[in-house]
Amino acid sequence: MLIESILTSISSFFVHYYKYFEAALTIAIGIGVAYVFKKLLIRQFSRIMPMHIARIVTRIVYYTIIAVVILVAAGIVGVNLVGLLVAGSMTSIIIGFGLQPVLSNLFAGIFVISEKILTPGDLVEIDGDMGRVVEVSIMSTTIQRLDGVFVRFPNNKVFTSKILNYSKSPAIRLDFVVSIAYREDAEKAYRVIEQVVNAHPLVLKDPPPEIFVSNLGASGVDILVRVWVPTPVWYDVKRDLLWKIKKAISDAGIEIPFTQIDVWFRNSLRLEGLLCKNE
Amino acid sequence: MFGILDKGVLRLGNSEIVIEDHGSSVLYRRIDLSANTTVQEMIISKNVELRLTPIYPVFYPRFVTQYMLCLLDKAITLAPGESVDVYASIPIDVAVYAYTPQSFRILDIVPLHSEAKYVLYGSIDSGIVARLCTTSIHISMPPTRLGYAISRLVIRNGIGKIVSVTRILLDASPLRLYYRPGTWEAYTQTIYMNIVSDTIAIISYGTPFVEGVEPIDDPDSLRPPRIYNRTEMLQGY
Repeated sequence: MLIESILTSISSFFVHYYKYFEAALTIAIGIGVAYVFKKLLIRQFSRIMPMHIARIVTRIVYYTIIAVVILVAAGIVGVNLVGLLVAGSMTSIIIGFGLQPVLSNLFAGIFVISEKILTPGDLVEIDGDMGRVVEVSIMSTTIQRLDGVFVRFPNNKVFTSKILNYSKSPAIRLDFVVSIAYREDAEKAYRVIEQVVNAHPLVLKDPPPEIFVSNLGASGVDILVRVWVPTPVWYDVKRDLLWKIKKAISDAGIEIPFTQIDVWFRNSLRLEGLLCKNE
Repeated sequence: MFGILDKGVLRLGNSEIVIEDHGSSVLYRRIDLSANTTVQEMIISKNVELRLTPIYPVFYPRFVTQYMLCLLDKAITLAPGESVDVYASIPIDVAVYAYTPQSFRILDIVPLHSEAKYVLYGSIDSGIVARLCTTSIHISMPPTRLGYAISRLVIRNGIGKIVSVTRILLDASPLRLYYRPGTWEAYTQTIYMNIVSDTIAIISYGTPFVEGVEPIDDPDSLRPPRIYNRTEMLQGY
């Protein structure tokens, strides 16, 4: 009798608490599966994206699996999932609205890093600010402008802005306009400029420099000088070459004109009278 | 001559190196003879050994690239499947190294070819900037002279049509320079050029072809990892 009653109470205990064991088992298996999945994902993602991004993405997937497993386990023990889902959905919407800027930066950051749009050291211009990329993190991108100031851009700003990346190309082209007076010998100016350009070691020989008259301006003849230079030294060459061209033009006695306006008066002016009044 | 640099005056092309002994230290000066100005001046402590060695021509006027595009002074034409074994005189500069028993450092680069120019090998989007080097080609080993390293060049045409080679792209990282102390002799290792398509050639770097020479100590910017001991010319030869 005693044994029978013990067995009965044990079996009723199991019948009553079976769902809790099932839920616990589900959670245990779910956590195990999530853990294995996390390991597999990080191995795959680390091949195609930077490690810190791979970790974040894997963590998101891991906790999502855990959340689903907990919901399934809650259903097993009889928790009203409909109410929970409604409450959860409402909470998600509220949190989603609150975290919208953060999430948009996060996903923009994942895109910017995985697409390798910017890498540290690149010389870029973002939204009018030119400088070298210092850091591309999951939420923001920092550049150091050429004047030394650090500028931090939220990643969604980077994502939607026009970006000029000068470091993606091995060489970039510099254009200079040199204006000479109409009375000067344009061929002589051409030779002087060509000599300076060819003598500069950092101006690439190939693609060859181009020097040609680009415009007959209001005050002088505009000569356009186009040269290709190695990207890392473009600023130094720009600074150096324009000065050397200016100096060579001046040394050759070629006049660089300034803007001149001839004013014609319909009637002759009586300057003497004006001068006398002023005196 | 390459090797240990003693005090005194040494003329190298358009430059003159002057080393004056001042007791506990020496004064190093490099004078540009064409402009008659001192372009480099430094004080070096007594226990530093100065040594002259050949150096890749990629450091003057400044280090921009480690690649050298050697334009051959005469084209080399090869029948399908054939190879040629020639010698090339590749321009080099001279480096002044400072040595202690534990370490070394490049103190100065003496340019021997004043008209340095660079070119873009390949297209704007995927090409590389390379130092332009005019290279003379010889059937037999030419006499050595200051400012040039002798390379043995083995070119093999691996495609089924006649090809002409007018340029070779060299990477200063896997390329090694060797010198014979007490002379101006400088050499590279044997360079192999294997033509594999109409536009692609693979450059690989072998072993030295002369004996009794010393390798230079590569500067930091050209140190290994030399994982791929070859250079791919993907945009024509």
